[in-house]
Amino acid sequence: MFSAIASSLNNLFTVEALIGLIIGVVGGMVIGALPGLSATMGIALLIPATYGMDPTAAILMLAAIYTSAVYGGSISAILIHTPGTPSSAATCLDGYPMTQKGEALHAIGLSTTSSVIGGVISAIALLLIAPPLARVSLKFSSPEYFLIAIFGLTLIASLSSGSMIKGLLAGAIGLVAGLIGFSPDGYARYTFKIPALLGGVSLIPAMIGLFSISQVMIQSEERGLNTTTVKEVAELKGRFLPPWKEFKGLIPLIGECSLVGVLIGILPGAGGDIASWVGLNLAKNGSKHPEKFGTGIPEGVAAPEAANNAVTGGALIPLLTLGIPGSSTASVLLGGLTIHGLQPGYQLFSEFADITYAVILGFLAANILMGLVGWAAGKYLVNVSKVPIPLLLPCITVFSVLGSYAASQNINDVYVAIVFGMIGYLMRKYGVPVAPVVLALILGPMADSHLFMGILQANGQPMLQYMFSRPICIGIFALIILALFAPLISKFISEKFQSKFGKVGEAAEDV
Amino acid sequence: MEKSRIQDLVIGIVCAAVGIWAWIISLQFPATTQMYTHVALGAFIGLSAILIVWSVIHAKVPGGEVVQPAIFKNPMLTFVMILVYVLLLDKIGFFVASAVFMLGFMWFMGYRKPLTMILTTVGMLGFIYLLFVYELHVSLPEGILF
Amino acid sequence: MKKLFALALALAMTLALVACGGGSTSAPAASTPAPAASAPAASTPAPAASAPAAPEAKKLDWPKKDISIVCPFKAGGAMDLSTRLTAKYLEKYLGVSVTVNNVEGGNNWVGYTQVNQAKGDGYLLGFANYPGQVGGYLNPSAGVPLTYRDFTSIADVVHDPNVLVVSPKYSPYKTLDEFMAAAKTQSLVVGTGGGAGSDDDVLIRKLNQQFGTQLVSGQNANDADAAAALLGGHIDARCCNVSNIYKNYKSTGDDAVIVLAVFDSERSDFIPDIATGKELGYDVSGSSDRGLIGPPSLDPEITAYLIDVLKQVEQDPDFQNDAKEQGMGIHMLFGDEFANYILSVEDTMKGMMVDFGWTK
Repeated sequence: MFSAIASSLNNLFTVEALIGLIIGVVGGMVIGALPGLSATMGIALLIPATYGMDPTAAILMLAAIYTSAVYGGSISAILIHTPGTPSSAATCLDGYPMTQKGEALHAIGLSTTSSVIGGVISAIALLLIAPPLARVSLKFSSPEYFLIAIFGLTLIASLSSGSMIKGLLAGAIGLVAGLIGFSPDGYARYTFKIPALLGGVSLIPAMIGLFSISQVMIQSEERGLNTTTVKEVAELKGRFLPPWKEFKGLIPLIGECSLVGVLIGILPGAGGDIASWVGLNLAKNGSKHPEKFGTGIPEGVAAPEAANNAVTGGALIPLLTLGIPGSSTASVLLGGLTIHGLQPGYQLFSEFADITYAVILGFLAANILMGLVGWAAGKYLVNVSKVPIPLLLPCITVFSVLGSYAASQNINDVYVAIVFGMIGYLMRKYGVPVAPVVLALILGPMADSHLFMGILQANGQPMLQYMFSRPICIGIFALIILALFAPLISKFISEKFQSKFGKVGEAAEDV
Repeated sequence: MEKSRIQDLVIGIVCAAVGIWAWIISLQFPATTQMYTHVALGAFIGLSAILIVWSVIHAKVPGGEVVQPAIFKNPMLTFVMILVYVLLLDKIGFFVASAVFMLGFMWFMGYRKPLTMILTTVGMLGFIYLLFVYELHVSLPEGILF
Repeated sequence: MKKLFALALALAMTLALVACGGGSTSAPAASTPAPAASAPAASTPAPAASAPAAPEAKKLDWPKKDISIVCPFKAGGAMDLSTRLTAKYLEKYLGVSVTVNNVEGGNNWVGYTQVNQAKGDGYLLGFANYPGQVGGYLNPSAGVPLTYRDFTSIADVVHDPNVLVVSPKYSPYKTLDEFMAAAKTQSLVVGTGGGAGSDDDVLIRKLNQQFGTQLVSGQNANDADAAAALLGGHIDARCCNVSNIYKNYKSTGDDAVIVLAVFDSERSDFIPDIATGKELGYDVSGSSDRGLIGPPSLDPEITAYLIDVLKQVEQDPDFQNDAKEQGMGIHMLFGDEFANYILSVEDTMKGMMVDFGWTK
């Protein structure tokens, strides 16, 4: 392998490849930061532009866009409460409050650092242990994915700050919205014979509505006041690089989230959007002050960002070794590979090793480069938080409309966005969190579809029996139990501890 | 009952009503489709019921202060403006509709410096044109102008 | 230092973007502000200069402006790639910009509806997938009011035959005979690239109908899911298309598969050593077809002209090369031939309505 790497450096250090790398990183960041333009779309739109390019340069550019866009999404999530890509929705929750406190630079710095670390870890995994990881991913099939989806849904309970009932209700709203459209067994639900509804509620427009348009509506309450995003302080504060002490404390969390991200990335059935929530949950569960999440704390930004970037390299693993994309974005990359005559699989690592290793190394470089770009641009970007609201809101709205439309060039999606904008606004006014809706919109259909396929796979065996004959299923089931009861158990233990030693201070969790 | 409990009660009732309506429709689905549908609807109706009960018997469901009706005026106006904007998209084209919307919304929000308003609008739309139309070849709604 | 770095980066980006954006546009369109060509023009010389004189060019006076092809599928997918390939060569021979619009939504029907409602002047066409489109409207719960007859079937371009594959690692059956024999006595789960009504699903049901086997269609959400399920040993076999497996069917790695048969009237050039189902005693055919369609009001002269152009494209060695590189089998059917093929597909599927669960 090392000789293959050495000879691939020839491919990598060509002008074309390096330009591809740079365009990919910077372009990807811009694409990711723009609301509604996701990494998936960005790659899809730029594939035709790679037609004339050398395969190494082309694939490298697309891969660079992938990781850079996932990172870029955090920028708009932090600055304007609009997830630039679905994987950054979780970052809004603590990122935006930090901006409101004037700490936007600090938040972007955290996001950059975590994204780079997550991406680099996944790149190293891709480089060194791709084949064994791919074999692990093959052991997962529909029964496992169904349980993973259930696990994801249970996270909603612990992710709801404030009222758990309302959080769960929000999740249920997402589940119900996800019913619209075809069921996995081919029956059109709640479409009332309107063909436009057959596709159901599209995720990105719904997310834009819930996060971005609702935010515009909320901020329009300040009409005539000419305020800015930054609320409490007159001056922006904070430095880009997190202080060493803070960073040291975050290292274990970032590491965990990166590993989780790689694992979720290699699973073809799950992608970056799920990873960011799992990461956030890990942070909350491991934290001594879980009630502070949502007010703007570093863990709330570092965890999801490390996880979602770690997914990118992970998703490339089954894609390159088996031809099975590890995420929906990776599946568009597959199209890019095909166009350049590169069918993934065994021969990518033998016949075409030169190209493949060049791409992987370039991907590693891209993760580092995007950190540099973020560092250079960060200082200027945070000025967005000082733009007067009357100027900012129209811009956000136009981007939201544009983003909802551009995904599928279908005006109906824009209507979905504004409907969810209204729903999101009402929800937020009445204390129902919107994040669970997005999570449920992803996980509901996933659970539905894998339950259906799992039953077919079981080929007559009762589903429960089938699931419990599979070791991984049992493992995930244990995780679900743990996730459901861990907060209660730890609360129980800490209360016992308190009463024994009279310690003051753990804030009671609202139920 | 405090206002906030009434709020929560209303939310619960509305959700439960939607859920029950959806359940009735779902009875026509084939059996295999009904399985998961009922799980999702069951969770929805169940949680609405819990919310209703909680708001009645408990002092307050945490989260969300009482919302005064007066505060809705501006957001609703905003929503109407956005709706009109979207409706106009394929009538007069993306760029014209956006320009009109942006200037109008800025004015609505109380901004009064014409030069900045125009520069921002032109700058934004110019950037969008360059990136989306020229570079990425995304076709945006076209109208009579462009 | 930081500022210098930022500035240099910005400069590099601007230069690259200008080069990139400019390069992928073809000759600017005179009349409409329609977006520039998305078909690759970077590696081909300026279209007008080298376009071979298409027949009847002077008589018809069409096209006079850019053409749009609606692809109701997402960018980067198989349908999209087929559409773009066709668009690239139409552009070469027609001398105008041919762009591809990916209009997703409504299970492809938003896009199909756009084509159906387009004017008959030939500037908006579409690409369709069969049997996909047929399944879309035969399903009664969907409420789709259109059928293939509401479009002009111009030409079938890409023909991707079905194959049946098993995993060498997990499957006890290594030949089609062994597999089918086993399937007559026990139910075997076969993965597919789509739900009920997709091409893989239809083939499985055809096999059941004709040979009395008990194959269970996995109705997987997509190809990736089925591929992973097969390679992981979770299902007994997988039905997919030649384009999915032709490059690595001889692999010895984790992605190895055994191709039991290809279900077409003749062997595929991509996998010439794989026998057809017919040769092995199981005469069944199935495939995924992707072709050019137009609105019902499309001027018949334009249709005829397009057919002539496509006949030329079919013979173009560059086109053949491109298609081969991307794993697309080309087998064009024109006009009525195409429509009749779709009709036969529709008939077959109507005979499966109970099987699909679309009627009682």
